[in-house]
Amino acid sequence: MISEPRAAAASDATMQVRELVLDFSAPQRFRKVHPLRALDSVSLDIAQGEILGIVGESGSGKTTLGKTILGAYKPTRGRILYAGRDLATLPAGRWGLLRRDLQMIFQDPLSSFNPRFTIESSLALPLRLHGICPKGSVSGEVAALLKRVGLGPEHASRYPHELSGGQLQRVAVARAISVKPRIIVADEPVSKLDVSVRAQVLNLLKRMNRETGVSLVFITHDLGVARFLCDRIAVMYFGRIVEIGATAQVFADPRHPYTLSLLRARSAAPDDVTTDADEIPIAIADSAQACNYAPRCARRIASCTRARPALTIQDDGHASACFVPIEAGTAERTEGIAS
Amino acid sequence: MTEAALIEVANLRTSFAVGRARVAAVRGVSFSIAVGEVFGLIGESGSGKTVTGLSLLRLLPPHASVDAEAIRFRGQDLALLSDDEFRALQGVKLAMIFQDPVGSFNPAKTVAWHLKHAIARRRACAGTGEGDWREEAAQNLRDVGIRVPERVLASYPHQLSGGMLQRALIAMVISLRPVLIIADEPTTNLDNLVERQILDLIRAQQRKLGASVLYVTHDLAVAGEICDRIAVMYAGEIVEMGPARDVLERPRHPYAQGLLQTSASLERRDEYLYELQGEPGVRGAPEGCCFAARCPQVMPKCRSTQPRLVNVGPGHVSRCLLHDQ
Repeated sequence: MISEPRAAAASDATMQVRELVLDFSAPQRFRKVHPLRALDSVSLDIAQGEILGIVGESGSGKTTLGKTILGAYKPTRGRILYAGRDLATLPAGRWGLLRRDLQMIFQDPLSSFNPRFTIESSLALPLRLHGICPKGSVSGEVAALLKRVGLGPEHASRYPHELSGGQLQRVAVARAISVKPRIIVADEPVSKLDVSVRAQVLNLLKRMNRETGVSLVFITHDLGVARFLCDRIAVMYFGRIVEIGATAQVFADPRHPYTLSLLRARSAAPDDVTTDADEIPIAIADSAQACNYAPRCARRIASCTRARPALTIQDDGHASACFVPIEAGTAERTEGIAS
Repeated sequence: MTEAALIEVANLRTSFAVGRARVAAVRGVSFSIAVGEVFGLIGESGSGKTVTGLSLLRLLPPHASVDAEAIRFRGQDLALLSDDEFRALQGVKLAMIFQDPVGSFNPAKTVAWHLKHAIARRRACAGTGEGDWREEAAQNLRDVGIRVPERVLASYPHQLSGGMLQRALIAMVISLRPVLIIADEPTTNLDNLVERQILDLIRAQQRKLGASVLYVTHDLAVAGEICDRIAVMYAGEIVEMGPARDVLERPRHPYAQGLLQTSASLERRDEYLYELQGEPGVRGAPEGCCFAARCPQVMPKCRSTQPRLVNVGPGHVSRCLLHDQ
């Protein structure tokens, strides 16, 4: 199956990811190595200034995708087109200034700062490395950054463990925006935070996106948060994008059965959850030639176990990878959520 | 307190020795859980919700000190029991489901080994004879929605997904036939879809056993789904308590109101979410209200007067000086 190379194309793409494949092969001493396909033919565009949500359960490859487009993993195949270059094949030594354009905010703020550095030194380092401002004005710039994310100058001299998770995540946002990047990948940035401060950090991310025009790739398993923050949403399942489209479309009119069951899991009717605890053992001759979701799918037909559905794009930019997609306007039970 | 209270906790205070100082984690918490009731304890990290649960089960480390006017279980004061006497209840009549299912299993043993020991322990405590544990274990796994119990019984913990392992843990808890289950954020590490299934499962098995549940969570939506009554904790105190629907639909304490306004603005898809200001766990002055430092409706007297829990509806109490006006 050739996946649609122009899947979910955005007109003014900052980055274009094309048929990205990543295999992890853990070396095994006594057994034949079975590579694990973490990303399976992933194609998407990241538009200038948009917030793209990547949702999926743990193990679906959403974090791996985020790290791969920043160059943390070397993809097995595929292209990552950015600023006229293909990051997938660009040797590490030639990234140079590209590193500055692509920034990351991690899930656990405490482990993403050097515990021996004060907040000021952590923020000053990238400013000096990339020559963002003249040497003499670094500490003024640090103070300005802290102010922008809602912290005071008194936080500059503190160490990471002296700040709360919410405060530290603000510092992580400040560090990411300090080098004026084009794309920030935020990997579950609020999932480790307390409920009462999540809103603070989500609002901050949205405000930074609106103010600076930076594109944000927001990785989350929380659909409610994704709906609030994201312009478009890509739903991942086992290393593949099974659905991608504008947030309102995906919520109001899901096409893939997996998206529908995720949405129903949020609504209040427990009987609607269609998936089962055990995957139903079904005969699949070649798992590379079958839909990944087939064992859990209530809409499965014979061809689902014999061929892999490609991500096919509709005129409205809404795409899904399913042989029997849910027809437009028939996902009646999600209405309550979408309204 | 109701007649049918299974457990009654009066003025529980738990503190930890940190160096030479003592840090109070739970500051005078009182509640009761009726037979067959699911009681939710909601709060952010550091609010004392988990420590409250662990205090009841005597699972805290030695540098913790637990002090309460009374912890009565079926009318019996648990504080009077020696550790040996308590052990007959702990992990049998009083069972616990932890947040991390992986850490709850011995990684070197199969699921069957765990279930076998749980069943044997219940039988030993109840004094009933040895029977075939295998059939009972398989049945317990079927009860938690596992279709092929033989496969799961033969598996080691690392071979199962988080959701499956949490199911196996619940099967283990069921096999103890507990009367009180303390569930500490059992779905926090799971995905939305699996979370929903586990919540349904806990509710169904709780009804079947007629057991009570103390459900500890930070998630209001989850609490609304599973709990009959809830208590909202802030900085070691219960600030609001009442029937789940009343607390979630008509919260009276400014902290509970703030949390719910955030979820409401998320549902409404506002451009920006409602924010509670300040950092979690920040306490007001010791002689005043614990929430004064973050409260959007703070008044001068909040910093000098401790509010009491006052009735704001049937079975619904809230700790705020605004109610006195």
